[in-house]
Amino acid sequence: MRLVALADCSNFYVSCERAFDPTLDERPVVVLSNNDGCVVARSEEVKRLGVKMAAPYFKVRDQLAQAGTAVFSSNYALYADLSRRITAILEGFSPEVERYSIDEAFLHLWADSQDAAEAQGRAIEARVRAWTGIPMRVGLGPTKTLAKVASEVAKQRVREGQPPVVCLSEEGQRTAALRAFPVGEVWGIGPRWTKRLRARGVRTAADFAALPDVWVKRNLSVVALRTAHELRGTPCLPLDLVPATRKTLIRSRSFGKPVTNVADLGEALATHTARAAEKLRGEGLVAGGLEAYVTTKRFGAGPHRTLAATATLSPRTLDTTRLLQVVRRLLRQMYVPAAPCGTPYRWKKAGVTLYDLTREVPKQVHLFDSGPTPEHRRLLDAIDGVNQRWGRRTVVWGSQGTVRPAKDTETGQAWSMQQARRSPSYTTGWDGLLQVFAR
Amino acid sequence: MLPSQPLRVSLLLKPEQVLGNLDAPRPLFLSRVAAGFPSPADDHVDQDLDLHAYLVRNPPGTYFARAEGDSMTGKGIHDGDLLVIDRTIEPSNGHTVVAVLNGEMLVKEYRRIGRQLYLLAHNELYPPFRLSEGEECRIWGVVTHVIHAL
Repeated sequence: MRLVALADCSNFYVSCERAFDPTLDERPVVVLSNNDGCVVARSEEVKRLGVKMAAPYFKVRDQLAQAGTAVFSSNYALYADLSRRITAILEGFSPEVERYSIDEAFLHLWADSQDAAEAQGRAIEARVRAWTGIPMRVGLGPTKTLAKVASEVAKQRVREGQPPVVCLSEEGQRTAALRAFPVGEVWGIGPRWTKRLRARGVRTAADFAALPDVWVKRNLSVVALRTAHELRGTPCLPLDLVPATRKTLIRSRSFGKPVTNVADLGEALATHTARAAEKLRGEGLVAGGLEAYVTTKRFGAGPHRTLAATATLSPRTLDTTRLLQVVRRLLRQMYVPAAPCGTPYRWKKAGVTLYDLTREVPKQVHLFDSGPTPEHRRLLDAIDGVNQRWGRRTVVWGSQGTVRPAKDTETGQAWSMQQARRSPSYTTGWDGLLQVFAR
Repeated sequence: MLPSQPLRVSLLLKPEQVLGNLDAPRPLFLSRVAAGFPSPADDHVDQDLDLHAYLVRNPPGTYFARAEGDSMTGKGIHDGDLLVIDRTIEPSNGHTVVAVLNGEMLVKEYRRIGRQLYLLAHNELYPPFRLSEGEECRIWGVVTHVIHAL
């Protein structure tokens, strides 16, 4: 039989930190968001302390310190590297793998029996753990939605000290699992539907799957009906094997400390533009529009203001030089240094969105083509190549600012991000390699 | 072994004439001797050699680390050397491993005698380490190559 497996890493960011630092094995660990603002990953010990996901760090700092918690800034380069490794391992088990998020993937498996399916799940879990050090759960079922349910059941079982693999291919097991599964936790059933379902006396996933199709369609939606079918074991959601072409490309960051200077804003916007343009070329796309914005955000002392401006790019472009001219013009147009009362704005965040993205046509002949000449295109590709090989900001455009970042961090400019507690780049930088001792 | 007299090499041909352009990246010969049938694979060997592909046999499970200390000099691992660690290999006797002991990552030689695990150093100054009852040790990975800068 054909099965869907959901391979779901446990506390992924925390597990990545632990994979390279054995002193963290027995300690509570949290990972913070950009700018060290909120808790974005918690070890089991921290969950037991009652610290909630997305809790502002300053509110839980004392509690975490008292428990001896190790606190990390997010190290996305490390997490992305381990995520790629895990995907590669999963591709060794199945040619059909859908990378659903940085720490979850769906894959198709074939198995003769429930036992054989569970054995495959255990083999996947064991290999990922041995090759990367990352613990995961594997939920198996005839559909994606059931695989997701199985993975949630596995999460509970792991807490009870049982193996992290659950298969819901057999009717009996499936019914038992769905009867114990709250309907609000089913993949795709949001709080609004949960309320409506509860009003009709639907409490569990089994109750929901047993509802008449007509009722579900009329009172909820076709999407909900698909979920009901999936819970009954009829696949309605195919694996997404080819990632959809993106519609927009966004680069934005909060500043480490508020910025009051138009030159700093310009550097930040230029840097986001250069990064977005590099990504654009890397994906073989061209942009038809650009939006730039800066904001003081809502918290902190006022006055508050958000400035945004857009420009249409005709013809479409992938040229950093041209995008930088546009962004500079936009900033000049929209910039307001101070509120009417005279108090200067304290800018907290800047960003750039490239939109109206389409595939790059290899040799477009445009009557008024102001796109890059072949020579200029070679220059752009060379700069991308240098930055990919020797690290970001090896070659920069002048408008990005000239302060060299400190080693292995991107701090340096007045506007750059706060990442005071980031772990070394164990797998992505020669300076941060794992240290092992010959003694 | 010391040669009793200076080694003499006479060349009838210049090296370039035998080996072609010495600066060009050279393919390794796949079949070692000219006896028997030539390997049909030799037709397609003229590609650049990729040192990374040679050292990293299993990319998703291979990691690099920096060695610190002198307890493994007898095995050619010196302070500051780069180690290639393969986590896909099951450790067995004689393997150089990275072992996790009391929260520390150590480079040692792996030796199991019966049910007893020993972690050996390759330097007289460091005694072998015998894992005592109840002591936990996890093998993090097997060191497959050392890269030593001269």
